[in-house]
This record gives sequence, C-alpha cells and structure tokens, in this order.
Amino acid sequence: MKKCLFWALCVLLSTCPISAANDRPVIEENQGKALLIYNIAKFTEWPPATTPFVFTLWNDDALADAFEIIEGQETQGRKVEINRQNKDSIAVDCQVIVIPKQQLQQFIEVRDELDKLPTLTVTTEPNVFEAGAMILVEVIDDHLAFSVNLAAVKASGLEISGNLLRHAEVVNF
Amino acid sequence: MKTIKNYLLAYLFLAMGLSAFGQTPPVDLANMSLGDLLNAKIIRSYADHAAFKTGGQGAPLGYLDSSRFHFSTSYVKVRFDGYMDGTDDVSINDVLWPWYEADSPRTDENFPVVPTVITQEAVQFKGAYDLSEQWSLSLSIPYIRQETEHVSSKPGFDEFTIVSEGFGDVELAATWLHRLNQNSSILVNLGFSLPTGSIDEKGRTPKDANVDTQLPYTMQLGSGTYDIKPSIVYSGAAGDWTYGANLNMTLRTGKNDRDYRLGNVYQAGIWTRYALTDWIQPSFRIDGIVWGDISGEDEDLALTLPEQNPVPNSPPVPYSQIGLPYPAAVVKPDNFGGTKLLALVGLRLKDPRGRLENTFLELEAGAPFYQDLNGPQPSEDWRFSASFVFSF
Repeated sequence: MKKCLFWALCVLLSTCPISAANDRPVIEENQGKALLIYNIAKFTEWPPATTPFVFTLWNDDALADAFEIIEGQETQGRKVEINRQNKDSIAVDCQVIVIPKQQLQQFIEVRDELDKLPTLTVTTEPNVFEAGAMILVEVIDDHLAFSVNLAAVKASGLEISGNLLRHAEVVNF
Repeated sequence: MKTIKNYLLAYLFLAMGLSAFGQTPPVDLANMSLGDLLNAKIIRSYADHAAFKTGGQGAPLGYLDSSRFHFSTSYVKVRFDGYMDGTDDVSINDVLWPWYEADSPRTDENFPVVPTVITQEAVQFKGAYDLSEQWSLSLSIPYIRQETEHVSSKPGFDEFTIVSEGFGDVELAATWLHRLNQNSSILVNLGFSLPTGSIDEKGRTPKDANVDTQLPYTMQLGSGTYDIKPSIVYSGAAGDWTYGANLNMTLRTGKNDRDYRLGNVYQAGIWTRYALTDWIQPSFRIDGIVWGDISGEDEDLALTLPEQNPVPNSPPVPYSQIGLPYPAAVVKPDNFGGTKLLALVGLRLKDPRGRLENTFLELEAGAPFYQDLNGPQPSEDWRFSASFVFSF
C-alpha cells in the first residue's frame, strides 16, 4: 500500500514544477483552432454587408462546440453566428466554411462552385488543404499555425491582410 | 496511512485546480490578440476516441481525432502468488493438506493440491469503427496463456506445472459518446461476450497420472456463458490534466455446458493523467473490483469416492479425512469471489505529429493494496499491461 502511494506521489510531484513554470496562455486544441479561424476572418477584407457573419461547421460537432466561444461576438461590424451543417451537402450562404477530413470528397465536388463565391474555405486537415481549401489551421508541436492558399483566396475576390500573412507557416502563391 | 491518502488527494485536487486556474477564461479568449493566440500552448482535445474504443481498461484519456478506424493490441500479465482468506494472508503450508500426517485432519480449508504461482497472460486484439461522431462498434479477440505452478502431497506430483493456451471469449460492443461540454464527456458502452473460449481444457494432474483430466476453473480460457458487459465512463479536462471515473460490469447469463456460471464482476475506477509534454503523459489510477463466486459446479473437477485416496495402494486414510471432494482450492466454487482495490501507475507515449499522430503506446503497472477474498484463494501479486493503439 505504502509503495503504491509512494509511486503515485512521485509521479504527481514530478509534474508540479513544469506546471508552475508554464507562463504561456493554455488553450484547448479545438478552442484554439476556433479562435484562430475567427482571427483570420477578422484579418480578411469582405464585401460590405449588414447580415450576420456566419461560420459554417460541416459535420464537425466537436469543433462546432468550440466555436460557441465566439458566437455573438462582432467582426467587420457584423454579429457572428455559428451554423452547424450536419448534411453531406453544403449550404454556401455563409462567409467561412470549415471542412473536416471526412467531407473531402464532397468538398472536391463543390470546390469549383465555392471558388466563385466570397467564402473562405478553411480546414484542419492537410489533405483538404492540398485539395484546394484556402486556409489550413493546425497544431505544430504545441502551438497553432496556419497556411494560406493565396491564389485560391484571391480567385474568390477576398483579400487577406499582409499583417496576417506574415504569421503564416506557408503561403502558396 | 489515512494521513498519506489525505495528503495525496489534497495534492491531486490542488494541482488540478491550479492548472485549471492557469487557463484563460472564455471571455478573454475571444479577445485574444493574434500574437498571443499563436504563442499559446495548445493542449490536445480531451476525449480520446481511440483510447475509449480500443483501450478497454477505463483509462480513456487523450486526444480526439477524426479517424474512423481504431485498432489496438494490448498485452496484460497478472501474477498471483500466495493465499488469502478474507483479508488475512495464509501460508502454503496452511493450505496444503499433508494426508500422511495423522494429526493433520482434512478440513474445508486445506487441500492435497495447492497452486502456488498463477500467471495469466493475454494478448487482446481490438478493432473499432465509428459509425458517426457519437456511435461506434468494436470487436475484441483475446489470446490467453495461463500457467500454474503447484505443490501437492501426492508422491510423483510433489511439484508440477500445468499450462493452458488459446483464444478466449470474443466480445462485440456498441459505444455511445456524449459531450457534456467542451471539457467533459460521458461514454456508454454495451458489450456482449460470446462463449468462444474453451471450458474443456485438460492436462496432467494428480487426479490421474496417466490421462489428461479437466483443469480447474482458473485454467479455462472462457466463461462458457453469454455475458453482458455494460460500462459507463466519465472524463474531463482541466488544463494539462485529464481525469475521470468509470464503472464496468460483467453480468453472466444462464449456465455453461459444464453446468456452472462464473461470478459477476463489478469494477469501478478513478484516474488522472498529466500531459507532461505532448508526447509523454504519466497517469495514476485506483480500481476497485468486486466479483462473485461460482454458481453450480463442474462435476469433473470433484473427486469421486474411489479416487479420493490420494495415493492408490497406500495405507487407508480415514473417510472422515477424505470426505471432502475438492482436491484444490481452485476447483471449489465457494473459493472464488471477493473484493480488491488496486493502485496503478501508467505512462502514455506518443508522437504528436505526422503519421503517428493517432498512435500511442501505453504502459501501466500496479498491485492490489487491499484484498478480501473468499478463501483460501490465490491472491494477486501484481499486474502489468502494455497497449499499442493506432487509428486511421
């Protein structure tokens, strides 16, 4: 009994200094991705509108839950709304669509249509980014990073701020 | 001892509280600058589908991934050494009945054959498929090897070892995952165990030196019954800590072809895991297990009258001494069941990037710190497990 408690105490005590020494903000992965996507949207120039600013989460409840922290906030003077799209087909009446890995095929099917709209296509999956999504948001080591497919962004008529692009991991021209 | 436990619990909760306190509250998060956001330390999502669906031991902590297929291979080794009756240790000499000593009467607590060290090893192959974000199905196939060392008072069998080996009971399960909020979830699992493991394992024992005979319940590879295995798991996260609790049951139905039914098993556990880095995560777990004795009995395991004399052609032994039909504690149905509490420490190792993002190796070892057994019964000495989980 004493031996077991001793082991447990050693494990727990060994973790204490690291916890105390960590002074960076700590964010859960999905919340971090949601916030980064929200920030990218803020650094993007959109056609003027007064309708709500809609983020569509396509069959990704876990990430949609994380987006609740920005629901009701304002960007570009527009109120943020979260749209959970739980069908294989995608409604394109939104400003940002987040595409998960399992929707890769469906994304490829509607990619050409999306490219003509002022809609930012964002993903957390490298495969979807390679297939034509405009923004890739990922965790590298223990921090957030993003890559931009700038040619696709420009083709849609959107403009991303240079202040954002200088933080990008990769920019494809 | 109570003081140590209190200090341990106090530290655990204090550390979890401090860690949670270190997180930025949601209101501040929404207004974080881009620079602060890119500088933030990211902790992985809490609910680990792969571990939930393939871990099996109720330590489902780690990362949410979007993979649809999850596979695991785990190795478990449990060693039993020594005997206990209730909470008291009992020596081998107390359990072994030296029939040839006139002043050593046979009782229902001594036996002519005594298993001394029992080693149970299992390699389990488990696969799961996600039907949706919430629902998944899984299949588990165990391969079991059991070895028991014995001493006996029968000449020629002073010391002997028997081994049984083969596939155990296959289990099918459906799992439902429900997110309570961003930092916690509940998982409900309903498993059905099919009687695919053998209950007819035979070997050479003192019962008959010339013919293989039915081995004890502990050496069989399956239960022989259809078993229902419900479980519920809660897990949560606070900063770099994840924690949770689980309740698992194995409910036997009917009786098997050998006219017995193993006892139901009820297991409850609490655990915590700390993300020391992205790739190394130590854990600590307390498990409590209550299990029942055997209903009915396998008649092939009891001694019949002509065989009761342990040594044929030896001087007669008074019937009063040999009237008890069980040659070993492990064939006596009442000498099963009990309660035990275990403490286990573990380590999860994973590559947080690239092709191995959804893959991890988990090691865990521990020992009981409390056992109350329907005895005399072999007592657990220690256990070890290693699991390799991958998803795609």
